[in-house]
Amino acid sequence: MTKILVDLGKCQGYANCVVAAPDIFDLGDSGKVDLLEATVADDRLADVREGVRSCPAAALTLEETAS
Amino acid sequence: MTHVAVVGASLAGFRVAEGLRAEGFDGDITLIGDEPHLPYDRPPLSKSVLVDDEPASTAFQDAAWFADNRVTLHLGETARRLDTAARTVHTDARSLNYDELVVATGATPRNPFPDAPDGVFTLRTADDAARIRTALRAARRLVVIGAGFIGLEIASSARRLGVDVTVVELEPVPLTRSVGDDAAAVLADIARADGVHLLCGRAVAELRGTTTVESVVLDDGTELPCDAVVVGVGAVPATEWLAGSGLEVTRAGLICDATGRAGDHVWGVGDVCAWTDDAGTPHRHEHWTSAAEQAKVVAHNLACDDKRTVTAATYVWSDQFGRRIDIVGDITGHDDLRVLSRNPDDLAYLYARDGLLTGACLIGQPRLMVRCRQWIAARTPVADLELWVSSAP
Repeated sequence: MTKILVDLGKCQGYANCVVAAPDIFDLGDSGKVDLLEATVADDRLADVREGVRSCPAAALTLEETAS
Repeated sequence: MTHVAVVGASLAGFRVAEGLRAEGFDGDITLIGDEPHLPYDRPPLSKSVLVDDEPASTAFQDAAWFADNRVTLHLGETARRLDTAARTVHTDARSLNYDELVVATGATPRNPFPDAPDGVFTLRTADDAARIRTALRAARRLVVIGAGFIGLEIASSARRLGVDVTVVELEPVPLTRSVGDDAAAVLADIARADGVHLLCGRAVAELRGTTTVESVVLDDGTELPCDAVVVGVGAVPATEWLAGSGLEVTRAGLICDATGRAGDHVWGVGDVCAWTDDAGTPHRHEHWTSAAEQAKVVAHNLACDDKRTVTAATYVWSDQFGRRIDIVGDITGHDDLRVLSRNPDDLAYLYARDGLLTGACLIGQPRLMVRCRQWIAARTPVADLELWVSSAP
C-alpha cells in the first residue's frame, strides 16, 4: 500500500496535484489540498506520483507501507 | 548504454533527469549547470528568500539523491558550443559525448543598463537573490524598473520589509504581457493599496550615482532618489552556445516541435525554448508549470521512444501583496470575455475564442482555477459552462 502524506503548512494551493489525479486530490475552499483517498491503489500510483512530483511547494510525500 | 546529457540544471533540466529515472530509464544521465549550487527552485527567490529571516533551502534534492539515482552532476560549468554532427557538447571544463542531448539553459535577464553604478540588480539566480536580500535590508528606498510578475513580487517583498517602493513601467498598466488591460488595472490598484508608488507610461532615462546608485531619472525629468534598483524587464533565451550547431534558433529561443524535439538527438525544455503548437506557431512559455510539463513529456519521449505532447493548459501564478493571481491558458486573442468579478478579493475574468474556453485570470478563486485548468485542457465549449451562460451580458 502507498499512503499520501500532506504538509498543509507547505501547501500553497497550486493544484498541480488535482490536475494530475483529480480522483485522489481536491482543493478545499481554504485553497489547500484535500485528500479524497488517503491510500493509493496500485493502478492509480503513476498519476499520484506525478501529482506529488509536480507540487511546486513540495507539500506531498508518499509512504510505502507493507500491505 | 544510452547517455543523456542535460545542459541546464534548473527546474526543467533537473526534472528531465528525475523524470527519466521515474520512467525507468537505465542509461547514463549527466546534468550540467553553470551555477555552483545543487539544482534549486526559483519561485521563492522573489518572495520568501528575500523576506524570511532564515529562508529555507530551495534545493530540489540533496547530493545523496543524485548519487542514488546515478545522475552525474557537473556544476559551475558553462556550455560553450554544441557539435551536433559529432554529438559532443563542449563546456568551459570538458567535452562530453552524448547519445541524446537536452537543452535546458533557461534565459538571461535583460539589462538595458550594463554600465550602471553599484546597487542595481537583476533577479534570476540564488546569488542574485542573496545580493538583493542584503541590499533591501540596508535600503530605505527601492526603485523597481518593470511592472511584470518579478518586479511586482519584489516590490511586494520590499514592502513587507518596510522599504519605500516605486515601480516604473513603460506601458500604461502593469503586467501587460501577462493579463488584459482591464484586469491589469485591478492589479495596479492592489499594488497601490499596499503603498507602492506605481508610475506607468514612463521610461527610465538615466541611473545616477557615482559609485552606488543614488537616483533614477525618468523621461519626463522626474528624479526618484533611491539606494537600490531592481531591473525586471524580461529575459532572453540563453542560446548563444547553440550558435553554429545547425539547430533552429530564433528570438523566441530554440525551436522545438510539439514533442520537444529540436533536431536529431536534441531536445529542448523550459525557458530557453519555444515549442510549436497545433497551428505550427512556436511559443516560449517562461513559467514554472510549463517547464515542469515539458520536462515530463521529454523524459517520457526519451525513455519510451514516444511522441507525447503537452496537453495541460498553461498555468501561471504570482504571489504578491498577500494575494494569489492565477492565469490559466491563453488570455490573448479572445473574441469573448466574461467578467464574473472585478473585486480584488475574488477577481474572475474568463476568455473564449471560437466558442471554446481558452483562458482565465483569477484572484482568490482556488476551485474555479482548478476547473478552468480542466475545462481548458479538455477544450470545453463555453455553451457547456453554466457560469458562462449565466454571466451572459
